[in-house]
Amino acid sequence: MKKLFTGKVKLVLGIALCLAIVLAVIGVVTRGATAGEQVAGALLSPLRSAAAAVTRQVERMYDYLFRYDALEAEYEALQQRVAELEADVRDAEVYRRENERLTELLGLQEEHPDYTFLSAYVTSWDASNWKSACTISKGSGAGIQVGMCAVTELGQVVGLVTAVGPGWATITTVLDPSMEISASVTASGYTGVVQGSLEKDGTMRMNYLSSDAVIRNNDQVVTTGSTFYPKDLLLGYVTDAGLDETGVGKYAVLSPAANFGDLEQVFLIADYES
Amino acid sequence: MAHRYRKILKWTLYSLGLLVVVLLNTVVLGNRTFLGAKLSLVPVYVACVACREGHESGSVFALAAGLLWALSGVEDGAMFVLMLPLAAVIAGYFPATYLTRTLLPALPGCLLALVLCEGGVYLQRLYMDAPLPSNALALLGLQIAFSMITAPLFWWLTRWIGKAGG
Repeated sequence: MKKLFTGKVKLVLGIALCLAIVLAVIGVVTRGATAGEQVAGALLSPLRSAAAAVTRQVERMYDYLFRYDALEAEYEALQQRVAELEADVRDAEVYRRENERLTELLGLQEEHPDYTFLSAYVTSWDASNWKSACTISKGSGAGIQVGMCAVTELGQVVGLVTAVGPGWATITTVLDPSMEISASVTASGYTGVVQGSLEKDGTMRMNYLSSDAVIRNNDQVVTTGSTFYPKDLLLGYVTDAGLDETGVGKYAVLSPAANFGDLEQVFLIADYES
Repeated sequence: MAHRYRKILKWTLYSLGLLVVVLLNTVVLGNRTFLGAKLSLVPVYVACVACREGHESGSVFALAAGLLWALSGVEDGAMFVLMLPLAAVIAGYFPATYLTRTLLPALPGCLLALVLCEGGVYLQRLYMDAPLPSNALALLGLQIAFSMITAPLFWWLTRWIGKAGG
């Protein structure tokens, strides 16, 4: 009968232990992609792009065969219209509050920042239950850098670029608990910090709200503007609220504005006037 | 010479199979959840290869697979580098030594690989105080259960590759 732990097995397990320790340490001390990940990413990137393209074609073929095209087109048009109307309402609410505060400063109008966009397709997703991140088809070669904010075509926040290789980049989505975004409720102006939760229903949580904050369902929550996120990008909608664990502040549960289930393409904000 | 050629062909096909499994797991199924849980296919595939090829060759393959999986950017990849070879050693040893190399003895091997890898990641996150959803344990159970459904498919694939490689 063969021995379980032969010399070869001991050697393999020893190498595995050493590599695991090295990878864990590198993962902790390194920000962004490590050298090994750069190489693996460069090798896998074309394969991922090809596989994603095939998957998209298959999904489109399925949609074409089994869904009503007209209904789908109408749905997309309505979705676009709803987003436009919501943007109008949001702007109006922001301006109304600003007008109240800035009545003496007549004529002053905030200029909209000039965004420069880069577009990329989503090629793969992190397979872990404990992480929400996707890989996109472009990287440093296309001008993508760590810290760029990713949005949908409707201006809904998707996440932040956290690692970049020559032909790929990783976007950690707003659903990931590592993401903390300064945000405000447009209807009332209350500010807080939005954090991903990894909960099964794909919700986020807005923490550190004032204890007297009045939060209503379907209130829109937008970014307040920071190093990484331009101002007034839509993060999500309030679905629930309550007192937090400390009892001195409130929190709100948000459903994300971006539809992560059908996310195909993202737009990265390469430049904006802060 | 023919034997050597067939051996190279077999391990090339196993490696291509691994690549397909990685792409399937991240590209096709990466954004799909089943009752909230994502599938974990790499441990199942590696366990099937180890069951077919024995614990020594299986552990070397598992080490390479773990390294590729970790470097592909998966969260907590270091745990896979450690646990996949360990799972392959156990999953490959017992069917070959005490049982037959058929699907039924391979199933506990796949289950063990999933428990060691995904359970290891869960425990690591739990004790490192990393963020976990409130239903994390249930998600882990669902992930293992749904991933096990793919075991017969991968067993069939590895059997076909094993036959092609003599």
